[in-house]
Formats: sequence, C-alpha cells, structure tokens
Amino acid sequence: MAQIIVMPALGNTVESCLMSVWSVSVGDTVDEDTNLCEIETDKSTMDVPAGVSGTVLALLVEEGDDVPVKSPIAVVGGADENAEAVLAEHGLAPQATGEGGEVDEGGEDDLTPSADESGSGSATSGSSDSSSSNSTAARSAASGRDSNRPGGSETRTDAHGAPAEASDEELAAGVPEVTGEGGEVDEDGEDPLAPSVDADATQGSGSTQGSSGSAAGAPSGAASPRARHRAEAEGVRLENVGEGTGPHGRIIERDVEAALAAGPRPTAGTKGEDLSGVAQGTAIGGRVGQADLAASTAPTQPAAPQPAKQQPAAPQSAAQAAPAAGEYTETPLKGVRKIIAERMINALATSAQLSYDASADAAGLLALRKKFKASPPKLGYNGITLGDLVCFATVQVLRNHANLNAHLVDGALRTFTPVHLGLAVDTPRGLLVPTIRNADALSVRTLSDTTKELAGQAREGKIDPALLSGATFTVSNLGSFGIESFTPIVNVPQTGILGVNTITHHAVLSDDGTVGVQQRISFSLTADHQVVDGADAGRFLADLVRAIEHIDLTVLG
Amino acid sequence: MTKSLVVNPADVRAASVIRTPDIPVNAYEMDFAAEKRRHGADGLTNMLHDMIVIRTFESMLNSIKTTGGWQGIEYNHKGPAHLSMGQEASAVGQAAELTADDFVFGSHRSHGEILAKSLSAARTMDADRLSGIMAGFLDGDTLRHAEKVDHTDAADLAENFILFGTLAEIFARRDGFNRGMGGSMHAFFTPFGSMPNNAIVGGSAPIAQGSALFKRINDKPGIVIANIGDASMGCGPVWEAMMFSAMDQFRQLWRESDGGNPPILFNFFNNFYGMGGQTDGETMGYDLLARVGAGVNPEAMHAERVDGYNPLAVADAIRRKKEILESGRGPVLLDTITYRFSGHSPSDASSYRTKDEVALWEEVDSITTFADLLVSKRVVKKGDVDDMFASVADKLGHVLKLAIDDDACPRVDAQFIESVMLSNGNEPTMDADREPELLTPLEENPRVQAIAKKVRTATDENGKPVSKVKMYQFRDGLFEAMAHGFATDPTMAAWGEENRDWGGAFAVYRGLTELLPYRRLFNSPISEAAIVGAGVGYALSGGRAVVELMYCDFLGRAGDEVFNQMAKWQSMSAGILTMPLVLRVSVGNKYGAQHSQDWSALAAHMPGLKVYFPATPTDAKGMLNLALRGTDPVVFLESQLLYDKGEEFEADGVPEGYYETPEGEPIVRREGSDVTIATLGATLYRAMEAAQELEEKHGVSAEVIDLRFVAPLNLEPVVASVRKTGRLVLASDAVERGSVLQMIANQVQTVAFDALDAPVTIVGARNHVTPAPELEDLFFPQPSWIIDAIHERMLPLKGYTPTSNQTEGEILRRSRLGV
Repeated sequence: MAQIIVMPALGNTVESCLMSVWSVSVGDTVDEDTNLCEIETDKSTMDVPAGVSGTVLALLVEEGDDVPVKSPIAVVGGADENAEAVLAEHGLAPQATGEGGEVDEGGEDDLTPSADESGSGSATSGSSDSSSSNSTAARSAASGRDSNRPGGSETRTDAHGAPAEASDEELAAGVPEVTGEGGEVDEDGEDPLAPSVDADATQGSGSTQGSSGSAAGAPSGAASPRARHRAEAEGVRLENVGEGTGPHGRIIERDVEAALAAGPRPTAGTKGEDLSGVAQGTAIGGRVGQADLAASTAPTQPAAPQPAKQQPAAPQSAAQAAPAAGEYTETPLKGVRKIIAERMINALATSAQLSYDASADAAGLLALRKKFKASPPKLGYNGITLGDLVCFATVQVLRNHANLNAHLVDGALRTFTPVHLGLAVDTPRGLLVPTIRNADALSVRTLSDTTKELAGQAREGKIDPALLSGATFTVSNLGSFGIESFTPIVNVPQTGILGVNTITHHAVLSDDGTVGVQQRISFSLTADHQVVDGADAGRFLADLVRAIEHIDLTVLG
Repeated sequence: MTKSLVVNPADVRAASVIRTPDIPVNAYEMDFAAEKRRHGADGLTNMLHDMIVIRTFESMLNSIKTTGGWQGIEYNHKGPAHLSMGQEASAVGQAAELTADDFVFGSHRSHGEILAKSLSAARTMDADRLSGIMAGFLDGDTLRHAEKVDHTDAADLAENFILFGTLAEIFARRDGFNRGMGGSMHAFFTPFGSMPNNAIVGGSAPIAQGSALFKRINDKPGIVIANIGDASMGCGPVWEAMMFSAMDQFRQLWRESDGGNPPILFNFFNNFYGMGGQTDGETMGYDLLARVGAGVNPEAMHAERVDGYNPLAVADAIRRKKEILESGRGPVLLDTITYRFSGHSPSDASSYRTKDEVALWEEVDSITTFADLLVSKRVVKKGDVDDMFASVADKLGHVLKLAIDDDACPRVDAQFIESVMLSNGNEPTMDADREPELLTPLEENPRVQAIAKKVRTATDENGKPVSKVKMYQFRDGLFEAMAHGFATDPTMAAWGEENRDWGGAFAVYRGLTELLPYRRLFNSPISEAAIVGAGVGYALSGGRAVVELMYCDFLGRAGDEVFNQMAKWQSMSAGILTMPLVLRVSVGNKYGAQHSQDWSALAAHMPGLKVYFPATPTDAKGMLNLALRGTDPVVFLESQLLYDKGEEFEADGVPEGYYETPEGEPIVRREGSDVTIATLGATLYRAMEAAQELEEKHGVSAEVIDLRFVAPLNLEPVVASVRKTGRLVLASDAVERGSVLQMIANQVQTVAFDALDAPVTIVGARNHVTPAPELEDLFFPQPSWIIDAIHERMLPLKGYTPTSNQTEGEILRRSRLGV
C-alpha cells in the first residue's frame, strides 16, 4: 500500500519548510530511516526520514519550493504501484512523477475531503504494518530524552497522530496508533474545526476548512468571550481551534468544544503547542517538567522534528475530553501561577528549546564541600553548598559562552558582558526566579551569601520585583529532589537554562579493568536552538564538566 | 352607554335654542358689617396678616433670587421661584372659607396658596391637634427648627412651622415639607389641605378632579379646588377634567345617596398672562374666561368672574360655591382675576407689558387697599399694620437663617432619593375600617359562577385543546383579580371607556356591572388625560384606582398624566403620598398603525412607574393581584392576542383562590441549553414555536424565558440562563428601535459578557407603521425571524436558509435609513 509522505511540521510556528535537496530519486528503494530529503526552516536544516519502506514512486515538490507543512511531498510504495493512482485515490491531482511540482492550494484543499474515506481505508488496510509502526512509536517513546538530541534518527517526520477516536484498546494499551502509513490522512485531526452540533455532517466541510486553515487559511481570529473563556479553562489555545463556525468565522463555543472532543491536534506544531494534556505541571513550582510531558506525551520540544513524540497525545487528551463529574476540582489560575503559566507557554511557543544532558565526576565537588563545611565558621565558608559551587562554576564557564549568556529579542541576539544569574526558587506562591546581578564579579563566598539572601526574600515574598527580571542565564536546581534529569524551560528571552540534577552512583570501569563506583552529578542544559546549536551546547557542557571536576581550581576564579 | 337612557329621535331632532344662564362678573357688593359678622375682627385681621406674610415671603425670595440675599442675610438659591406678589388677596380670600378637609391643588406659582391655606387651616384646629400634626410630621424634623423661632402658643408655633416647612422645601432641605424633593413648584402640606402643586400648566385640573372623585365615592367631607392659571384654559387635560367632572351620570345614573357630581372647583387665578402671552386679547378668544363655563354644562359650571384683588369678594364666592359643590351640583368654574407685580420668574424682563400697566395695579394693591379698609373700619390701627409687617419680617428672618443652615438643615442623600421612588407597600385595602360595597355577594355573580365551571388549562387530560367557551381564559384571570380587589378594598374604583355595561372592550369586566354600584365602576368620557389624571388624584388622596386605556396607542393622550403625574408624586412627596394606581393598557393589533403599538418602552423610561406585562392566564391573575395590593403606580400591559389564551404552561392550570406572582421575576417557560430566548408579552408563544423548530429541525436546544416584568425586573435568572447557554435572543412585539429589549440586552451584555458566545440579539417589530392585518406578519416578529436571527448573528445552522433578513448589514441599513 503506497503511502504519501508529507512535509513534517517542525515547530509550533513553522507553517512551511523549504525543500532544499532531495536525497532520493524516483525508483529508489528506501527504508524507514532513509533520508528522503533535506529541508530548511528559517531556523534550522534537517533530514526527513522516509518513515516507511518501499520504493519512491513520486516526488511531488521541487527543490527550492516553499512547502506548507503537512503537504504531500512524495509517494512511497510497492515498486509495482502507480503513484498517480495513489494520488488520485487521495483526491490529489497527479503530479509529474519524478519532477515534483508545487502543490497548489486547490490540490491541497482537495486532499483532505477524500482523505476522509481513504484515510480510514488506509488505516485499516495498513494494519499489516501496524506492528512495525507500533514498534517505532514504542521506540520513540522509550527513547524519550534521547530523541531530543539533534539528529535523533528515530524521529518520524510523517506522523500525524492518532485519530481522535482511537479505540479504547489502543488507549488502554498506551500504544498510540502511528499513521506513518497514510499519515497525512489526519482528517480526524482536522475535525475539531468542524462544528460539533452535527459531528457526522460536519466532517466534510470541517476538513475543508481545516485544510485551508492549516495551510494558508486566514481565520478571522475573532472569538466570542465565551469561547475564549472556555478555551482558557480547558487549556485549549484558540490558534489551534482554527477558523470558527460563527458569523464571520468567529470562533464560538462549539468550535472549542469540537476541538476538545477531538483532543489536542496531532499537528499542533503547525499552529502552536496544545498543552491541554499537561495543564498542570508537577515539577517544582508547578513547572511543566519532563515527567509531565512524558505522562501526557504532549509535545514539548518543537524545535526538533519529533512528530513521533507528539503523536501519542491522543490517549491522554481523550481521557481528558470527558472527565466524569466530581472527579476533579477546578481552580482558575491566578496571580503568580497564572503568570508562570503564561510565561511557560510563551517560552515554548517562541523559542526552539532543546535539552542536553551531561554528567561530571562529583568527587572534587563533594570534597570541597566537605572541606568548606569543616572550615572555621569565622572564615565564612562553611555555608557554601554544592549548589553554590555549581552556580559559581556555571558563571565562570558562561564567560566563554556568549550566546548562552544572552537575550534573543526581536530577531537580534544580545550578548552580555556581565553574568546576571537567575536562580529558580521554589516559593509558596510558585516558582520565582530572583537574579544575582553581576554574578561574575562575586567570589564564591559572596555568591553563596547572595544566593541565600535572595532565595530567602523570594520565599518570604519580600523580593524586590526589579530582581525578578534581567537575568541573562538561569540555573534550576532539582538535585535535592533526587531528580536525575529533566528538560528545564528556557526563560525567554534568555537563551539557556541549566538544570542541576542529583548526584548518583555510577559504575565505572577503571583503567585497570576493574569496576568501581563513582559519584557523578548530571546537568540538563536547555538551550534555544535558534541561536545555540547543539555543538555550542556540547561545548558549554564540556567546559562545565571540566570546571566541576576541577572545582578546587575553579573557585580560585 | 346604558339601556336606561333612550336616545329618542323625536327629542333630539326637535327645534329649540340653547339658553345659557347669566354669568356674573364682579358682582360682589361689600356689606362690611355682614363681613365683619361672618369673619369677625380677628378673621379680617388674620386675612390682612396672611396677605402680609405672603407679600413678605415672596419679597424675600425675590430679593434672594435677584440680589443674593435679604436683610443682610446672604443666600444663593439655585432653584426656581415663581412669585405671586400682587396676587395675595385671591389666595387668602379663598383660604378664609376653607378647612383642612378642603383640598387645594395648585400650580408652579403657589407659595402664596400654600401659606394662605395652611395658616387658615391651622387656625381651625385646637392646640392639641396642631401639636400632634406638627410633632408627627417627618418624625418632628420640621418642628425641631420651627421651635427655635420665638413663639407664644401652638398657633404661633404653627406659623413658624408653616413658614419654615415651606421655605426649607423651596430650598430643597431635608426638613422641608417634602424633604426637599418637591421644591418651590411642588411643595405642599396635606394635613392642612394644601395638596400637590404642579409645575405642568393645568396639571392640577385632572388630579384635583380625581381627588374630588375620591371624596364623592368615599363620602369624604370637603371640597377640592384646582388653582390653575388663565393660560391653562388652553390645555386639553383641563377641558377633559371639566367634562369628566360634569358628567350627567353623577346625578342621573348614580344613586342620589352617592352625592352627585364630584365637589370640584376649577379656580382660574386669572392674572391675564401665561408667562408673557396675554390670554385676554392675544392667546385666547373667550373675552372673559368665565364664559367658558357655559360650554360645559347647563349650569355653566356656576361660573363667575370674581375680583381677586378683594379678599372679601373671593371669600364670598368660595363660600357660595362650596355650598353648591357640597350638594353635588358641581362642577364650578371661577375666574378669579388678579395681577402679579413680579415677573413670571426672576429672569422675566417684563418685555410684554408696560411699567405703567404694573403701576396701575400697584395703585390698587390689595394689601394697601385692604389695610386701609380695616383701618378705616377701625378693625386695626394704622400702627398695627406697620407692626404686622415688622413682626412678620423679623420672624421670616429667623426662619430664613434656620432654613439656610447647611449643618443643621442639610439636604437628603442619594440613597434617600432612591428610597422614595417607589413605596413597595403591601396594602390589600386602603381603608380597613370600611366594608367593600358589592351589589351581590361575589359567589352569586354570574361571571364568577361561569368561571367556576371552566377548565383551567388550555388542554384537557388527553392533551386535546379545550374549547374556548369552556376554557378559563386570560381575561378570566384579570376578572378574578379585579373581583378580588373590589371585594377586598372598599376604596377601589375603576373607570375608563366602556368599562361598565359593555364589560370592557375586551370582556374583561363582564360581570362587574352586576357586582358593583356605579360609583365603583363607571364609564368615563373618552378623555384619556382625565381618566388617568383622575386616577392620580384619587390615589394620592387615599384610594385605590384602576383606570384603563383601551389601546396602548392612546398613551400619548395621557402622556403628562402617566409620565409626569402618576410616576412622580411618590418621589416628589418624599414618600408622604402613595400611588396605588393601576393603569390597565391593552396592546392591540389588527387595527393598523394607531391601534397596534406596544409602548412598554415609554413606560419603562419613566422612573417611578412599575411596568408589568403578563403573557399567561396564571400571570394575568397573579400579576394583577400583585398590582392591586401594592401602593405603587403600575402600568399593566395586556396584549389583545392573549385575552382568549388558556393556560399552557402550568400543568395544574390557573390556581383557584388568591395568589400573587413574585414581583420582577422572569420565568423559564421551556428549558434548554444552547440559546436563551427571552420575550416580553405575546411574543412568548412565537418564541415557543421557534424553540420547537430549533429543537426538531436543527438540534438546537432553546430555553425560553417569559420576562413578565419590565420594571422592576430581576435580570439574574436571565443572566443565569445566558451563562448556561451563552446566547440570548430578546423578542417582543414592540418596534425594535428604542425597545425595552435594547436596555435589557445592554444590561445582560454588561453583566454576562464573558459568558456570551455571540452578541445579544434583538428581534422586534419593524421600525415602521403597523400595516393592515393581512400584512402583519411583515411587521410583528415571527418564529422564523427568531431562527433567522440566531442563524445570522449567533449560531449558523447547517443547511439553513433564512426567509427574513436578519443580517448585520440589514441592521445597519435600517438604522441608516431610519426604517
């Protein structure tokens, strides 16, 4: 069964990608990991794996084309299959095989309605592939953090999520359907756009609206107060609702309801993340942590092409779609909580966040801490904590990594000479991030004292509001909770945040071949890929590891 | 309209001429000895004293208005002051023959009448009664100040009280006669028979007539005088009031024991100017005002011209006319000529008259003339007159200082003003000491017996429609409430066009003719202003009246009486008066542009009115019961589309016995979840049709709310419904522009904005005239219009094709073109 490969959605603000280079030609045999092509967004360049096995039957776009996400780019199938027939089956005008061609609006619009039938057909007939699909999904899910790494080859580019009506078995099994086969046939993902009044009757028109909305549609953007209210309460972003069905395309309540009923749209990346599945973060200060994301399997890191990770959103949201009465207590977000929520969403929506883990031998750190602790109180060193030492080292390292000690504002990168270090502090009101200004000018002792001072003020609610902004880099320490790894969210417009994890025992192979135990501290750096490439991040972490492992020298300044 | 009177062509076609009685003009001839016997030396002296009081009082106000002070006491009075310097004799002469039981209603220029009537009435009372009245009035607030001015006895204290109460009222002070809510043009003091003074020219005529009606119907002593100006002879309501009061039925159809015509004296204080318009010679054509009496009834209203510059001539006339009125032979018209030295108001430059003319009248100044008379007849000494002026001025100086003391004599606050707008009383009877008079016991009334056999629901137990003749109808609900009211409140009386033998134009009152004597239910002339005005006077005098406008379109004919009188007097009296007046207004259709209008918006716009609009038989009865036990003026709207409606919403039918609909509470007629349709009046039934269609054809669940009330209106149930459905359509048969619904839409939108999924939309009648009955579906809201509006403006319906234009563009087009 031939499959249509579509342009992957590469982030919440990406509406189209540039087709740079085809890596295959018509007739080539590909497997799931074969790179079909290289594409570019305004922020990055990446490869698109085929995701399916078969023969390339048609290339539908040309190099240099600006292709809307989710638009068909190629057909892969059996060597004896006819690309034109496949396209026709999907309601697409046959393209000149091998030549590709720009997918016009009309063709695109035509796609989706017919996909209603063919989509379900392919999902059924494609069941023979389901084992491999599922295994792919499982691999994706299991790899979790790894898949955050750039170039994670497991990521699937063509997955468009499980249909909203994924069967109960699938939900229960937690094995989302992967529609690598006919992945573009995501009519169900489009359905939220349709009025809910008559779900059956609206599928057709809804998908029409959906395709125009997702590709080049221009929703009025107006939404009724009630719809806005409902969307906010339900954690639905109005951008994801698409064009409304009210007068003048106004989004009215039924549109939000329809979006809710359908669950988060698997193609959320085209319009923005739908975090309804992780409305309540469980990480410190209510931050949405990786654990939450894993639990909800909602998309979090749109910077990297990770549709596979986004894909299993359906189970969680489907479960949320119809909570039984009395099962929950609803607390409207207010004050600091609301601000945090808005900041977090904004951060995810406006930056290309990517996390990197590294660890360092903690022996030196622990030794120095021990030494400080045992030192005469009069010297003022015995209150210096492991966290203080890490912060000190971070500040020193940042001096050599300007693009991480920076702000990205309106398309311009501002690198700072001083380091204003933000400290994530858990307070009764929620997460606050006081700033240690000019941290690079402070000795380890002064840094420690300042940290305690500011953290105390933040917890007591007495912090000078001016000190809650202006940081150029942030450190978030979850080590005391035993956290071994997480993906901190960059506090935009900063370009990076360092997560500090707990110290764990690791088995190590000594030079002499014997196995020993080493205490290691790990770090989770999230950086904005818009300005910090993976290698930059790697260099920073390498420097940090070095500074930590030689902390006794680092503290010398 | 009665079978007992035969219109015989042999009589009415016979030749004859009309002869009118002679109308005396200044016929008074003074017999001083007789006057002295009648009034006594004290009485004559008091008349002079009271004239001096008025002159001094008015001169003081004139000085304050024009110079910002008087006798060295500075004060800035912002309000009006229409002065009557020169007219004192006419007010004092009139009051000299009256007691506290006699009521005097006046005009904007009535300071003198308030003082004269109060001073005179107070002298008729003993010290205990006087003290009781003063101590009990406004919890003694007025008396507290009056006591601060030197006084010798209760009568002297009463003078302080009257001067302070009037002046403080003019200055809008809390402790004035009406807590400052009436002011210069409206001040009054009922315990002394000084009744509301009216700033609408001629406004007192129909009200005083109603007050006289109250005295006649309820056997109360005293006469009622409407003191109105010569210019008011040009006002329709004055003529209407005269016609109403002169009706033959009072003597021909009412029982002799009922007392004849109402004891109303239309006293025209004829100062020859209506502002600057000269009535004699310029703006009227009557030559002598008294002539008009000949046009009203065979007695020519016992009209006379009286010399208002001679208090004795005025007193003589009043005494004679009072006898006529008390014997039921009224009404009476007096043309009391007088002249004001001062302008119409302080801003009047008297450009319309010469100084010479004023000088001519000053030469015959009534105070000088009367003082000279009393001196010459040795009733008083020359020095006494000077002493009178001096002591009055001294007393007024003290009163003025008290009345302008901002600390000791403050003004009311906003909360108070709001608190006296409505009385919200629950008084099933306005006179618990009397038994209501019925001709037969209620249970023997044929209509009551017929209703008892009726089916009280619109459908029978099998769901089949009940035949109209067997069904308890909307009009039966109104009848039951009226019958209950008549059987409960002895003061309750009803009048209007075709109220009696016809049974009301819409058969609401059928059966009441058999139940009630004429004096409790009678036909009025087709005089809407007098119909309503009489109700106002009747109610503020202490009775309960139910008056009727046969069509809402006639509301304009009673505009002043509804909007300025009925609505205002509770507030302007600071709650001293109540207004248990129900104005039944039938809202028509089928009779074109002048008989088909729902003007609820006009009533709603007037603070001080309650506006009810029932739509079911159960509410017709429950809401009229509510109105009839209240003490506020209620405009009670009834759609003619509903009179024969049965009860479609209450499963158990219209309850038997007495009950009240909770005031201001809308009711959900049909529950739904997707859109709320709130209606006012008969549109309810079309909304129900629309809701049914929405459900069946479009899967849209509509909640239908019957608003029932316009004012007061508890919007919370509507808001709660809108919070549920997110959408609100408002519909009524009133034209959409300026409709009550616009106000409700605004309020709901303001309160429930965040809950709205679409703008609140209004479906009203078109902004043009009501066409012929065959075309009424082009004018009145139809079920399809409601659905169309929902589709166009709120919730597009799949596959739906509207049949009317309810688009946003159409809203703009109609507004642009004013259609």
